[in-house]
Amino acid sequence: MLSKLLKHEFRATARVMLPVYVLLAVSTGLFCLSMRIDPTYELRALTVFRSLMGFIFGVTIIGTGIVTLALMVYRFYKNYMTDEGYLMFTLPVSTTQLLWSKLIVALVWSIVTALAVMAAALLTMVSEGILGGLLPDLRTIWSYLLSQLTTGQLVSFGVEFMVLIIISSLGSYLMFYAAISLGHSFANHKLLLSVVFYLAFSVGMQTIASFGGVFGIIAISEDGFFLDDPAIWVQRLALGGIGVALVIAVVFYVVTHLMLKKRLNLQ
Amino acid sequence: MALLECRQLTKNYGGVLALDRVDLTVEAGRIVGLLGPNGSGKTTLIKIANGLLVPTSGTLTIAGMAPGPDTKAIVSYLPERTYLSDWMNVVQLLDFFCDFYPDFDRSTAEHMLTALEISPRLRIKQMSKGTREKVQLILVMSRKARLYLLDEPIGGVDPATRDYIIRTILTNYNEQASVVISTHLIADVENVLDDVIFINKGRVALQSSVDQIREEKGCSVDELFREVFRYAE
Repeated sequence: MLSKLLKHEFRATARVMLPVYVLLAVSTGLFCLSMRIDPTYELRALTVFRSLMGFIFGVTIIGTGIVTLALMVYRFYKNYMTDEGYLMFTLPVSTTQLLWSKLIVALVWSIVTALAVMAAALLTMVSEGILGGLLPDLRTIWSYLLSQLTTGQLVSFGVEFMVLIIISSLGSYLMFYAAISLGHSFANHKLLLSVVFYLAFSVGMQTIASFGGVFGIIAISEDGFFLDDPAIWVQRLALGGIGVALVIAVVFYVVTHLMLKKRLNLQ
Repeated sequence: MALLECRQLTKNYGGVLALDRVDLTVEAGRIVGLLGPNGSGKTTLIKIANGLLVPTSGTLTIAGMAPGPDTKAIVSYLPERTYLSDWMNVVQLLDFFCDFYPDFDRSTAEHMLTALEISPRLRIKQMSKGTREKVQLILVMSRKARLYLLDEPIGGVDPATRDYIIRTILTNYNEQASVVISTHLIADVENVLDDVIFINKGRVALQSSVDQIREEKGCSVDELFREVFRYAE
């Protein structure tokens, strides 16, 4: 049943996400084209066009990220907390499947958005010829990394980095879901309470991050590895980060699951 | 085994007792009217049966199972609200129901949609409130479920549609299935009911067959309802 939930959730989100990506592609194309215009060219309209395309490109890049995040949070709210919840929560599926369907779809679109934005940025760099200038520097950084680390270490850093990003993204979405489902378990002021819970979580997370970050770095550096072997230090930092992100994600997952299963309170 | 069974079912909403130690059973093959004034606990009872609310105490079982994915597979639920996503069209809704409910009969649904002249390409947001309710009822009644829980199915529609809805309910359910219709418009459904459950202030005031009421009390369900729920002068 999870596959069916995923199919319908992708269908529901694709009708917004695909036009957004088309818009990103068009604005990238126009921006690349506009950059071929000589800025000293006498025809003022063309230089205005160039600036305008640059502005639109910037807005589209940021907008794509914002739309992705906003849509995924809105889908959870609209599909599970409003009247649509009467259909979704009476389907013959478990709460776990309902929650994961939203999480997986949110994660996939977030990854696609990240790749699309990176591709757009890369294209403009290639078009402008910036990438050619950067290549020697990138090569230097890469050969420095190779001289300091074994291939195994590089691969494991890469994997750890990816895992950290995935778990952190899930945790971020779950923080929204937990706040919304907590806020909606009350009889009145559901949306307002959802915002209050989200702000409270944010403050809590900031506090934990400030203290935890300082103590964490002290903890993993205290036996002198920081100076002796940066590879081990980074490794510990990555694993520590994954651990913390996992704990956060699990806590918000449990809260959301519990609220949806035991405290659902549709109007 | 009873299809729907409540034992000492209680639901407390922050100090307000919506259901108070409710005991009732619904056997297979019956059309049951769940009757009571507004705020009597009808919707709360139906929501618990659909797993949308968790009881404070007591039990509710459907075919011997507590509400969960297994009971949702055999219960067809019509809430009092429109739960359809407004961006979807009728075909997408049929696909949705086909995917999730193995007992959904697409041809029955298409037949009813044609009868009511509802275009399959029409989006929910393009429909009037009445048409949305008809589509929702068609989807719910096109399932070959064992238990239909219909919460105020005739509340907001005109008398002609009301007749169509009642005919739809009668022609679509099978002999082994039961239908629970929650309403306060008793006169409209009285003729199709086998049993009635009167519910008031969260308690079951009466559970009886319609024939028994007519024989023993010598009055219609509507008359009995008015008598039982009469406000003090």
